[in-house]
Amino acid sequence: MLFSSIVFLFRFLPAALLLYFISPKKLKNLTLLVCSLVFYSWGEVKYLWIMAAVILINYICGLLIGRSGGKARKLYLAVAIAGSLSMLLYFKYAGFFAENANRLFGTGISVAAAATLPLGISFYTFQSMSYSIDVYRRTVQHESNIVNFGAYVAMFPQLIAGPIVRYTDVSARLRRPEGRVTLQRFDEGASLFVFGLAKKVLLADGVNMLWTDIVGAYSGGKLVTEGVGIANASAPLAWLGVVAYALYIYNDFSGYSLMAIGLGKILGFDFPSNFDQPYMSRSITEFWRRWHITLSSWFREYVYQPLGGNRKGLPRQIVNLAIVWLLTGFWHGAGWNFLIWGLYYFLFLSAEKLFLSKALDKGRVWPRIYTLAVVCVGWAIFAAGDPGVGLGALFRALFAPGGGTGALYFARNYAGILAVAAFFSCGVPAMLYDKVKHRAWVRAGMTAALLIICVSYMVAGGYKPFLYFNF
Amino acid sequence: MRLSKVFRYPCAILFGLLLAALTIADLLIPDAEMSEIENRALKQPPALRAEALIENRWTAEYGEYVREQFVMRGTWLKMHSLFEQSLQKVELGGVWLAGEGYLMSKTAADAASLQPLVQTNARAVCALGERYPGRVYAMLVPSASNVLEDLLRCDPPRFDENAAIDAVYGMFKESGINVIDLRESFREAAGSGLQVYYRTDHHWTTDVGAQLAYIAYCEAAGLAASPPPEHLKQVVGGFLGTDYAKALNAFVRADELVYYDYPYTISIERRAPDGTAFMQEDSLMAYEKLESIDKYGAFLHGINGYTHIEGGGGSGAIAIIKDSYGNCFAPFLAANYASVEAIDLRGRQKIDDILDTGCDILVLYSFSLFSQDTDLFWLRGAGFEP
Repeated sequence: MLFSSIVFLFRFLPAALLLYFISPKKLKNLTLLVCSLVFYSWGEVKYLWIMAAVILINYICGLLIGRSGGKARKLYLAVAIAGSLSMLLYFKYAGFFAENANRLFGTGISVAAAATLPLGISFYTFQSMSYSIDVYRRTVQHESNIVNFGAYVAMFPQLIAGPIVRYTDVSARLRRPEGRVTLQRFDEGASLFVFGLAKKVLLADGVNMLWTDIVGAYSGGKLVTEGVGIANASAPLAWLGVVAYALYIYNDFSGYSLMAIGLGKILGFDFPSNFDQPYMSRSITEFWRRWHITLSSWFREYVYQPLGGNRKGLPRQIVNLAIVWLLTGFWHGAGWNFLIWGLYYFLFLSAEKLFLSKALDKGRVWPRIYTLAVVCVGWAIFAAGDPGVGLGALFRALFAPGGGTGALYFARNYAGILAVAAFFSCGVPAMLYDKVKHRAWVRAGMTAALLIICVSYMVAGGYKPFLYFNF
Repeated sequence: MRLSKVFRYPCAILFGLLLAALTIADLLIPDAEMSEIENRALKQPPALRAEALIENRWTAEYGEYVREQFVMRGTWLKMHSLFEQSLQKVELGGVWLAGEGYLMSKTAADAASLQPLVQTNARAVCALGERYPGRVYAMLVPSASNVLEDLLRCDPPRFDENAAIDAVYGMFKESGINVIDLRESFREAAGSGLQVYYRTDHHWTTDVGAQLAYIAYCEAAGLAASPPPEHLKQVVGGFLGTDYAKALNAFVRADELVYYDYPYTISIERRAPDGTAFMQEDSLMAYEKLESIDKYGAFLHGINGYTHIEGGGGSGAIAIIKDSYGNCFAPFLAANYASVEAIDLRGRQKIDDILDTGCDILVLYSFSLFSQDTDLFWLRGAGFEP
C-alpha cells in the first residue's frame, strides 16, 4: 500500500490510527504490530513469512546473545547475521549470481527465487541485523518481548523504504507506552507527513512524467505508455531527462522518508532524519553525509568501522572505502549498473580524501557545480538498469550527441514543475519553514492546503510506486 | 484536556478532521456506475476470490476501485487540471492544449510502434478493393493535430501522419481503390477561419468537416453534391467532447454541435435475446443524447454495427464502412443514394451480404482510429480467419 494512495489515506490510516489510539496502553504495541502486518500483507502477503522469519531469528538470537557470555555470544551473533543475510542474498541476489554464472561458465543454474523482490527486504534485514549487533556490542538491552520486537521491525511507517531505524532510536518508547502519543507529536507529525506527501505526489511524480515521456512508462517490467525512446532522444533531451530524474529520485525518496518520520511522530516515535538537503552539498563526501543518512551511517557503523575505518593507515582506508561502496551500490539492486555506480562513488570519494578536498574547501561556486554534475551522471548510471533505458543507450545519448527528438517541447511543458521541484530541492524552503514552524495556524493552513492539492493529484493519477520499493 | 490546549495544535485538528470527514463521506456516498464528466464507466468493487487475494491482485484492484470511486471525483479531477494548468503545462491527460482553445489528442511520438497495424489495416482495405474492383472509395480523415498543426505549442514530437497517409494511399491506388484526399481542402477551410474540427472533441464538425468530405466524395464519384438546406440546421451549444473529458481543463471554450434535422427514418440492426438480428426503426438523431454529456453520440445513435438510411430521394445504394466520423456524415449521402448502409466493424464483422448487392462502397476512417483499429481485417471477407 502506497502512502500516496487514496486507499492508504482514507481507509487504512484512519482505521489504524483509531485502533491504535483507543487501544489500552498494554495492547498498543500489539495493535501496532497487527496493523503493520496487515499493511505488509496488503502489498505482498506471500512473502510475509520471510519477514516473520527474520524477526524470529533476530529476536531469538538477541535473547541468547543478551543472556549468555563468552564465545557463545559470537556464535549467536553469527547465526543472526547469517540468517538475515541469507534471506537477503537468496531473494535479492541469487538470480543475479546465477545469471552471471551461467553466462560466464555456461552452467545451467536455475534459481527459483522470486521474480519479484520481497517488499522492503533490504530495509528490514538491515534493521534487524543492526539490533543483533547492538545487543552483541551491549549498546542496547536485548528485547525479551516478541511483540515489542516485532512492532519495531514491522512498524508500518518505515517498513518498506526506511529510514533504517535502529533499535536504540525507538526502544525506550516501545517499552513504555505512557506518554508516547501526544497532541504535540501528532501535530508535528501531521505536517511532516503532508509535506512528505506533497514532495512525492506533487514534485516527484510531476518531474518523473518528463522522464517517462522519454523512456516510456513501465508496470511490472511491461511497457504501458510508449515514450520518445532513449535511442531517439537528442543530447539536450537526454540531459533534461537526467536532471528530471535527479529531482525525481530526491523528492520521491526524501518525500517517503518524511512521510515515514511524520507517521512515526503521530504514533509517538522519533525516527532519525534521512535527508538534509543533499543537492546543496559542496563535495561528494558531504553529499553522502546528507543523502540517505541512515543507510550511510549503517554502513559506517557496521562495515566501515569494524574493517578498521581510517585507523589503519591510508592504503587500508582506501580498501575499506572500496568495500563499503561496492556494497552500497549492490545494496541498491542486483545489477551491474549498481556495482558500477558504487565504484563510481568510491573513485570520487577516494579522490576527495587524497587530494581534491583541499581545493574544494577553497572554492565557492564550482564545488557545488562539480557535486551536482557528478551526482547527475551518477543518477544516469543508476537509472540505466530501469526497463527501457540501458547504460549504453543512455550514455550515447548524453555524450555522443547525434540528432533526435529535441528538448524544446519538454522544456516548455515541464518548465513550471521543474522550477518548483528545483526550488524545493535547495535550502530556501527549509529556511522559510523554520521561520513559520512555530506559527501554528500558518503551518496548519499550509498543511491543509497541501493535503487537499495532494488528494486531487492522487485521485487523478494512476499507480505511481516509490522508486525505493525496488531496493 | 482543556479545549484551549487543543487549539494550540491546529495542524493536528485540521489533519484529523480532513481525514475523518473525507473518509466518512466517501464511505457514505454510494458507488457511481459512470463518471459523467469523463464519460466513462468507473471501477466497481472487485469480487473477493482466494487466489486473487493471495496473489495480491485483489488488493491492487480494490485500491484502484477506491480511488476511482472517491467522493467528489469530478471536483478533484478539475482541481488537478487547474493546478497543472497553473504550472503552465501544455499537455494534460494525453491531450495537447493548443492555441485558440483547441484540445487535440496526443499521437504517439514514435512511428515505429504504429507501423505494423497501419500496414495490416491498409492491406485489409486493399483486399476489399481487389474483391470489389472499381467500386471502392476510401478516405482517411487527417487528425486535428495534422491540419491545425500551427496551433500546437512548441512543436511536440509526434507521428508523421502525412507520410503514413501518403504511403497508405499509394497502396490503395495499386489495388484499384479510388482515394479521396481531404488534407488540402481541410487546410484551406481552416485557413479561411472555418471550424473543421471541434475544439473539445476529436471529431470533425458536421457543417464544415463532414460537409467538405461529402463534397469531396461527390466529386470523386461523379455525383452532384447537394448542400443541406439551411432551414434544417440545428445548433446545440455547450458541447464538451472527448478531448475535454481527458483534459478537464479550466477556462475551456465549449463547442456548438450542428446537426441537420432531415426528415429521414433509419433502421438499426439489433439483436433479440436469442441472438437473431432484426431491424428496428428509429429517429435519425438520438435527441436525448443531445442533452447529455455524450452529445456526439446522438448521430445515428452512436456505434451500431449496421444502420440503414433512406428517404433522401437519390438512386442506387452505398455502403459506408466507417468509424464514428461517418455518423454525422452518412445522412448527407441520402440525397444522392436511395439507400445508405452504414457499417461499423466494431458492431458487425460479417458484411459481405450487404456489399454483394452491387452498391458503391466507401471506407471512411479517421487516421487515428485507422492506426489503432483491430477490426478492419474483417474486410478480407468471410473466408478469412485471423
